[in-house]
Amino acid sequence: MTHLRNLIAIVLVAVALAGLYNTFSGRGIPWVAQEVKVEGAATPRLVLSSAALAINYIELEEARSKFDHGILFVDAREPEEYRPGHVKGAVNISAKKEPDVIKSALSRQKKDQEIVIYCDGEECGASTMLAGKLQRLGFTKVHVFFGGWTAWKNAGLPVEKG
Amino acid sequence: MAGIAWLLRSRPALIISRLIVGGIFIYAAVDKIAHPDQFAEIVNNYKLMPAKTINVMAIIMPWLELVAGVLLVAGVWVKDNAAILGALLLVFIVAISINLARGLDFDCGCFSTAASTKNASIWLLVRDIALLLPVFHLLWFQPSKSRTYVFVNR
Repeated sequence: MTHLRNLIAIVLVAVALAGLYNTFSGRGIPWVAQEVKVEGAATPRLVLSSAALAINYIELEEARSKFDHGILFVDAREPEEYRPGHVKGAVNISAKKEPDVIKSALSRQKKDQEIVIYCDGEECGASTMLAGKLQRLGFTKVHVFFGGWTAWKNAGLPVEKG
Repeated sequence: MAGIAWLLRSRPALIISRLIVGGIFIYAAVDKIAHPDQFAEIVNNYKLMPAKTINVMAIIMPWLELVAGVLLVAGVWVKDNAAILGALLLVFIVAISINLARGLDFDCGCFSTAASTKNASIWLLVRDIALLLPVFHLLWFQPSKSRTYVFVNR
């Protein structure tokens, strides 16, 4: 019985500290994630934090128009997924990279220039993860192309290998 | 054999296991606590939990790691804290196994929300299973009531 009591006490302390930290640290996230509908997408986007809410999700048409305007595309997938095929001219920055690596990869990009990030498709989280990191590095116009590589490829838009 | 049992029961051996398990979990918790939003994305990427529960897990789990880790290092309620961290390890092992079997590319989120340049691999499993050994050591050999610790003793 002592063990059960101790276990409950430990969990309660952890929950209490977590709750206090989440409320008062300024780094907290909502207890329940929001589901936001992205126009033209089959699945709603699960928005886990306010940082993620600040990310602008765009669909294929908008992504295409940004591509035509020469805006930088960033492929957030791993290099072995990037090499076989990606959006023409896209730079590969894996979402798992450390912030300073990301920073130096984008050293020629101004903070207020637009960036479009994508990964596999609607199911992948790499683009959102990378977008959050870019926001913390100070980039203000970060868009996530929700349909990603799958939608781009299926639409027959410009791609390249290597 | 008696020698090994004696060694495992010895106070220094138990303290080493406490420091290993507790220390690793404290280290693992800190970065997740610092970046709850990133950790939530990682939990989400495991694709195992219903959408509504992801943030609750991302908020509480690192604190459970930290609290149990600190108490374990301090020598408070050793068996109970070892049991909690062991249970967390089992959860991680199941989650990683399912996603390895699925062939899903996921970020481990084990120690850091930023790094992990390596993809999830069988190595993660080996590491978690290896960490279960000192946990079992504590569960098995730590005396339930003893005066070996400075702190609370029940």
